[in-house]
Amino acid sequence: MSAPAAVFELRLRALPRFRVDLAGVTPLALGALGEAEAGRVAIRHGNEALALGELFEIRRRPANAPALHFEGDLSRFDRLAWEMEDGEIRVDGPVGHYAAARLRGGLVAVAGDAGGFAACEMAGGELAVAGSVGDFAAAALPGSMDGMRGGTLVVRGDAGARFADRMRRGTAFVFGNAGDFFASRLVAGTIALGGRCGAHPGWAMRRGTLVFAGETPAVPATFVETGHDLRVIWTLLARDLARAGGPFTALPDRRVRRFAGDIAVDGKGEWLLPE
Amino acid sequence: MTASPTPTDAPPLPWTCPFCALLCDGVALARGETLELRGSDCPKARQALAQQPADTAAATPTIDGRAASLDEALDAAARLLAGATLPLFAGLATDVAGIRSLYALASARDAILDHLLGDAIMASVRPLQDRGVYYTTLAEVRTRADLIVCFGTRPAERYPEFFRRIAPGEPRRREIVFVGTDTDPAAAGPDTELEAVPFAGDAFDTLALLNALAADRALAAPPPGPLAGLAARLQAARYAVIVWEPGASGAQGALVGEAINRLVGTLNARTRAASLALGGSQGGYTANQVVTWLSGLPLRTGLFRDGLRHDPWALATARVLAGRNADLLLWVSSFDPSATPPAADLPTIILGHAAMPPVAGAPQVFIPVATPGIGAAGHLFRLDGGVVVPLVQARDDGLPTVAAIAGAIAQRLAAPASGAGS
Amino acid sequence: MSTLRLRGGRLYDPAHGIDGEVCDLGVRDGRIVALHENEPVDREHDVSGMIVMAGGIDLHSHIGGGKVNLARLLLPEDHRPAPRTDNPLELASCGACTPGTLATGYRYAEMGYTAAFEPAMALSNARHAHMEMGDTPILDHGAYVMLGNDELLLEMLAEGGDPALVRDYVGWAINAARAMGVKVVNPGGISAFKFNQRKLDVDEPHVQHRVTPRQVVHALARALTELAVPHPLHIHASNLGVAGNIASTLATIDALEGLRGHLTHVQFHSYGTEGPHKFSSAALALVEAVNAHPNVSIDVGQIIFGQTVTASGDTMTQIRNAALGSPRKWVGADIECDAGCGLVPFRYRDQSYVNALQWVIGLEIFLLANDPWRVVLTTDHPNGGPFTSYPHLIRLLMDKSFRDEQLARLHPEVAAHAALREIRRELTLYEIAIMTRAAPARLLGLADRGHLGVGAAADIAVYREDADREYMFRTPEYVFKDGELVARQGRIVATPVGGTHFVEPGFDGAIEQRIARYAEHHHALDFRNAAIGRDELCTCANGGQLLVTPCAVHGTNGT
Ligand code: SF4
Ligand SMILES: [Zn+2]
Ligand SMILES: [Zn+2]
Repeated sequence: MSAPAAVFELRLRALPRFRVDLAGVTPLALGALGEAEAGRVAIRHGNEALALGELFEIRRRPANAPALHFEGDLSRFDRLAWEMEDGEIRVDGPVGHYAAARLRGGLVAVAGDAGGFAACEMAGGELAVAGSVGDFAAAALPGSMDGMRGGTLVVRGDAGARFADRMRRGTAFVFGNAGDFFASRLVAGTIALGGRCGAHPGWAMRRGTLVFAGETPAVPATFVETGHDLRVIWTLLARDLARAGGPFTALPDRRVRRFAGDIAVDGKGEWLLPE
Repeated sequence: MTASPTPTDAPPLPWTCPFCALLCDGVALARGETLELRGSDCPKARQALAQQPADTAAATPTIDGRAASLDEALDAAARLLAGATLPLFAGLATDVAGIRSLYALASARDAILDHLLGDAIMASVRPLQDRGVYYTTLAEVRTRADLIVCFGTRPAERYPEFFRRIAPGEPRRREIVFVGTDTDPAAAGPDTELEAVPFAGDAFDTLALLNALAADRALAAPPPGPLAGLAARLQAARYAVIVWEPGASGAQGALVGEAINRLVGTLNARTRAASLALGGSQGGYTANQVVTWLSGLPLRTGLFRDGLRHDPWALATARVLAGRNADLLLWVSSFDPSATPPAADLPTIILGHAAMPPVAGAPQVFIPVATPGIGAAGHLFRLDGGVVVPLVQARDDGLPTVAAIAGAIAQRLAAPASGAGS
Repeated sequence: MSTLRLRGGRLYDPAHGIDGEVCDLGVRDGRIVALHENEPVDREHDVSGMIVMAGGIDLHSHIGGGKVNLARLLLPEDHRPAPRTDNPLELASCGACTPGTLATGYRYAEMGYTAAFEPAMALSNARHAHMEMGDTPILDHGAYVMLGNDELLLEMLAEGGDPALVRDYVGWAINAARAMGVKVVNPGGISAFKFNQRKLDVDEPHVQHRVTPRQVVHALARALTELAVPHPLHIHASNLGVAGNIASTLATIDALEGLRGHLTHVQFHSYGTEGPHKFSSAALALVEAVNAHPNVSIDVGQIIFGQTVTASGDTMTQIRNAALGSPRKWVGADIECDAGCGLVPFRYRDQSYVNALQWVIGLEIFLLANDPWRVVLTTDHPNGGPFTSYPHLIRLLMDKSFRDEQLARLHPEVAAHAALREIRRELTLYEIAIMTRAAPARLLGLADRGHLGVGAAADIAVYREDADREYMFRTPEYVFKDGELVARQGRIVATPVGGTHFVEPGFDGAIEQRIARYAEHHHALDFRNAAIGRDELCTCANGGQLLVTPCAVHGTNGT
């Protein structure tokens, strides 16, 4: 890129009347623009196009890497970092739906909660949510065969229903509790849960790995205990997951039981239940 | 708007009942002071007929609760719509012509479209979108099914004539199994065996087990006997039909549908099976079909100015209203007077059943409309998807159709100069 | 009264043997007329140097009805993103391989097409099909009702198949469904699959009714001949997509015993079993048979690389194809004792040996057939690819070097060995005009469409000459529908409601008793509602014109 990198600080002026679509507002897209130009970038508010500067006070300062810092309550702002390729976005409060959905690279950090479909169909990069996420985080859009396809999702709070529905690749952590149908229809990938989960975890999961570091869920009738010696594999995986900290820190010290399922479908997924 | 009374001694009118998605068309209507069903004892139809006002003269349009002429109401509705930037068209309980007409209006006003049974409709659409389905229709069930599994539903409770509509035309043995409910005596018939199989856990646990059993997978523990028996009979059946009800399957009903269709798929590798999803009353499947063919996308699609977006989650009526993400509600409900608009602190236009009680609250235009199959002819999609059944007009009650009203509003919007009516 | 003159265009009107003559074209009140050179007109367009043809007619395109709508439901991802055009005349509509009906009408009209025919209307789904077609703006439309898998007909054939009975039943069905013709899909096979039969070749008996596809094809072709329905039996032969199915296709031609028949999407039915992959082109064998049988016409069903969805009544085939689908989801249905429906998304890949060969086979059929009047250009939208790829297909047929470039990119074994490499033929504008206008009109019996003679409907496409035929056919300069300008340089400027083409063959009404009796025992619709009346058709079809093609003795087939 020809223009030097920049950090934009965007301070929310007032809560918008309708939901706002932030698709297109990415560090790389704004990076080449000056403050005033960035303020004229069009975003969608309900059915109307609005200038970014009408909703946010915008400050630009040069930096080594492109970044956006949002300040304020963004819970009515959807599609933050939608399809973002690179760069960094930080939000100091909550965000709306589809945060970091279809993310391809870079880092998105949300200090508050995120709405529905956070990290949905995310393919690379990282979304870190300090609060909780709504339903269908790391899941798929209707009709899509795959949910999250790569990258890392870290939720320090709780997750809603259908977390990681149809997820196919990547790693996801939920430090708190998860709702019903945790990891439903999982295709592959690794998910670690620190708290407890709602009804029917791993429903119709085909492959992939669920690590229940918190409360041990009841094992459904369509999962079968496997007698394999897991020590080597578990040591590697547990060490890896432990780096996330919190409820996962002690994983390498725990012994683990393994169940395979869901045999209602392909049955090649696994549950790892540390003791 | 006066109903023209039909002499009581007129022969009953061959009629199609619009009051659930079975659309029974082998019945008739005796038309006197009241409308009386002949050829069926269906309580649902009787109740709906009893709700038809004998005299529609009292049903006048209102503006903010005050009686108004139709022209005034249309002008007011057009003004509200012209002033809105993000309208929600919901309810959508009307016929094919009504949806066609509303769609043009929705496209012009960049509106969001949902149906009052949107949750149930999406629970039937989502399995199709995600994995596909194999389904069957009433005539096939009648003619072919030797095993009918009603999964988590007693169909006749919401579709009273269901078992009569699928009764074989000639003597044929068959079994009807109710999974997770008691047997329904309405299903009884000659050569028909009824049986109830309890859930093993809940609906989801049960389906997981059935899927594993049907695929001959080894389980960790032996399954409950009745369920294993059912799985064996599904495998042995020549044509098994699994009936389910998306609207009665809970928040994750779509997963029930997906699991049922997985089961059907497994069975179809060796024998024959199909699913049947009960739903689509109040013009629900009709709205979904018509919106899908016009737009390319199902209900819960926004015809937004910058593009069409289908989002069964975010564009649900309840979520849109709770999030205040609309500035006008257009509510269409022409079959059931109790299907009133949800509470919304928004300007509201109601194209409603003539007997709909007044709704208090926001600035509001109410226009009473004909019920398709009562005050107007029309077309609706039956619950098995592909069959469109013609509705006949039972009487001329002077009420306009939804199609006519939506068309008249669209005309006013296209010619803004004529704000004072025509 | 309104008049129009297109001045100085080069006309391609094969129905009148006009091959690029420079000539003015006059229009009065939606019809082509002879206007005196100096006669004043309301509008005149100078089209000198441009190419003028009748509006395109697609005689096989799945544009409306239950299965098309299921395909839309099945693939919401095909409709993302879905921008709206800036044209206020266009209502919101989107999609690529199965667009909404509105977008279907707009995109067809923009390409210079003015009519399209839905080939697979289930009798029980006819109202729905007419509704979707009625909501397809601008285009005239019609549909072929599917027979030959309806249990009643199979029952009649099992009883011996009294030709008079079959004829009256077919006549009743055409009238009931307001159809333009009859399509038979995997004759008997859809029904057989309901009885768990997985395979049915031309001389194999249906497991229940003991009737063979040969009998079904012959009985239907005979009935249509006796009813004098202009469009010959539209045949989707047995064993679609199966290696070696050329034998079934040739046997199906044989089953016609000289009666007229239209073999549809023949590309999918022209496979041999030679070579290391046991899958080879049988295009030559097919074309030789077609050349030798003047009673047979074809449309090709060319495949186009990329994502699409296959939409068919042929459940027996689709359940087999489901494993090859992409993405891995599919819809199937058994319908009302008269039909089936199967939808499998499919991605044709140029690096797949089979797909590359399918592409080659289609082109070989186009280029080897010697009578363009019996060959219609189709992709079997959306089965081989969406109709929006027609301009690309036309360029492949008209431009040998472009074709070679594409061929070189395919799976190396196909690129190296295909007979297509040696075929030098480049279709001319005249031949394209036959395959996309004149021939389909003639095969449908449309006397006043598909040509530019006096009295014809003024459905006209005007193209700006361009060496890049794809560009040229994608964006006509002007498109007129019934004399009204509907598209200008790829932009829709008017959206009239299209008309419905259908036929009304006579039949002995006594047959209704038999049908009513069957319906009472098997159907789920009251017999009173079995047939669509004319007024009801008008409502279903959104108020468009009702265009009845007479059934009369005719003999025009071929040059
Ligand atoms: S079952 Fe439904 S359609 Fe039939 S009569 Fe009752 S309410 Fe009407
Ligand atoms: Zn076909
Ligand atoms: Zn076809």
